[in-house]
Amino acid sequence: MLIEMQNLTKTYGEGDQLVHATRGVNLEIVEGDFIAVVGPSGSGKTTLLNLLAGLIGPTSGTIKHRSKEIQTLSLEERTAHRLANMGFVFQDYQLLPVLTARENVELPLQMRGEPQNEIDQKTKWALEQVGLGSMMNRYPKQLSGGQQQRVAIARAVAGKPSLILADEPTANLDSKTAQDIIDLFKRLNHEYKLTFVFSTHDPRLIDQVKRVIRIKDGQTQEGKEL
Amino acid sequence: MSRWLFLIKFSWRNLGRQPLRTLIMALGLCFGTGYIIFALNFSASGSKEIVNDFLAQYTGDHQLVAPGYYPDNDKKKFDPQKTLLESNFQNFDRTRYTQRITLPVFLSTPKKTQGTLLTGLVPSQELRLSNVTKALSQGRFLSDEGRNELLLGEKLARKIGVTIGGEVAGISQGLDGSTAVDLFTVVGLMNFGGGDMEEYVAFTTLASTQEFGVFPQGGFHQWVSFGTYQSKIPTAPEGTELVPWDVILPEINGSIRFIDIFTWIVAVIIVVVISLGMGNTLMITFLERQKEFYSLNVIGARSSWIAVSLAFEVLFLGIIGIGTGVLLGFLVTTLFHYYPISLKVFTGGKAIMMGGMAIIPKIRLSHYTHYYWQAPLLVFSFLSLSLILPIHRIIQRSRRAD
Repeated sequence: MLIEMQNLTKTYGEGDQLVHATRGVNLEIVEGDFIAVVGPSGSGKTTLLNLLAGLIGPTSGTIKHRSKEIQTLSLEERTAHRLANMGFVFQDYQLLPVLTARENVELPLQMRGEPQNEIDQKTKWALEQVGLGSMMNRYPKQLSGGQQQRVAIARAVAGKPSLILADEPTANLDSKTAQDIIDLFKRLNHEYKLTFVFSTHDPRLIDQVKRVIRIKDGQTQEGKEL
Repeated sequence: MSRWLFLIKFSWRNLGRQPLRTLIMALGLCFGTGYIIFALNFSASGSKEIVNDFLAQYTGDHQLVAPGYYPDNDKKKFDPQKTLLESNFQNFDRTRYTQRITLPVFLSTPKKTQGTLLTGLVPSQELRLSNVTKALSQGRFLSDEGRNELLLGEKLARKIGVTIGGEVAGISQGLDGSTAVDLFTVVGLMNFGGGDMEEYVAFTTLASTQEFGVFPQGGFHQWVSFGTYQSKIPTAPEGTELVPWDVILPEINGSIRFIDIFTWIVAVIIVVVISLGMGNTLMITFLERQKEFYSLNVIGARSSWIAVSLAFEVLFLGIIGIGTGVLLGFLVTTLFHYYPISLKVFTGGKAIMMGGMAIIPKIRLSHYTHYYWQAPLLVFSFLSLSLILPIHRIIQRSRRAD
């Protein structure tokens, strides 16, 4: 089991202002899963991803990553855990403008302190996977939105993490580019057994994933049917 | 190693994200550092020049006297009975020294009697070593052969109603206890800028003073040295006491120390102001990139990684700004070494009064090596302090998943 969430609740505020972002979520994710988290705005999709990434801690319940409890780790330990085990793709790419595509992909590998020759190999592999092997020395501003998102995906997958989280990765892209990105996810999932969990509000993507987690008012329900 | 190189590259490039802001911050550091180096060099050079100017006119850099000549460690009092003997200084290096006698006398004319200090000196040696002749405004300087020739300050001459060629009676007590009375002829008038020196000091030859004051066996009071300011002070010969100028004139030494401390206080205030501005600008700059720091944290950047990358940015900014500031300070100091600053600019054309003498020096700036590491260190220390709050704030915010 890769991820195991048990009775996970996250609340914000207190008293009359208390908001349940998630309520008693139980979820299991296995290696090689390809999951879309869907739901309306404010339903708790991002909170669920943040809980999975260890960016926030649950109010109650447990979350385990390969049997290791995440919620008991300190902030710095959770950051180190993300660096070693997770990749993250943002809706607005979040590439560093002062680094080239290659250097952006290198970034988490450099943070890990890997040897330079391994970094070079992994970076080259990741950029080739996303079809940007020839553009690796371009800066983000020299790339289109779709290309920037591909760089962000290369950055997320370069270290071959056990879990790749993507928060609305296609929201800023046109439908064709969005489909290209999902196709890329599918191929990486299929060929390299990389585990993807991404949030989306695009119903067209639902048929293309293995599992769909629907979330409404902080509660989850699994299934492709509405 | 590659991790550090990557971090350095990342931080260096971040400096170019807001080029104008980076330029303004670097210029702030540059001008601040440059000004501090210039101000410290100016202060130290000015003090040195003023003191040199002052000491070269009369006091000298240090004096050799008989033990007990300055009783009770009070350099304003002296005991005329404590004399040195020429015979004890046969092998003495006289290239920087001249003999002096200082005797309290009453100078009297039919118009008025005035108490004053009569200084006996060796004219040819004095001409060679000191700048006392610079103050000569009328008449001529003393001659070695002249007997009972007298130089008076213009103010003293007016007070007792005498001009060049006039005669003045001197009244004192000889060292043997007798009453010393003699007639002196005024050969020149001195202008010290109107201070005490012009009103209460008179000069005659050493030989005349010895005869007048009944000094036994060619005795005298002081060997006064010139031209060794702040250099190594020699050991006092046996049977003598060595008194440096800052002991003779502690108030002037105190003034110089005050100026030095004041300059440092101003320097620290400037650095604090620069640091506050710098800290504020850094805070704004970092907060503008808050989302980026959050993203870095999401992909696994530890707080230390973010903090070090920001510290490198400021380090590079500091190296550029402070480095050019050191160069600026060096160039400006060099400029005013070749084109000395006249203190008249600051005094409205008036002289500075020191120890009863008027000083109008031109300050030729010198390079004081220690300021070239002290000033940058000071600026860099405060710059580092100004970085603490922005980094702390950004680390806190980078962990916030909002």
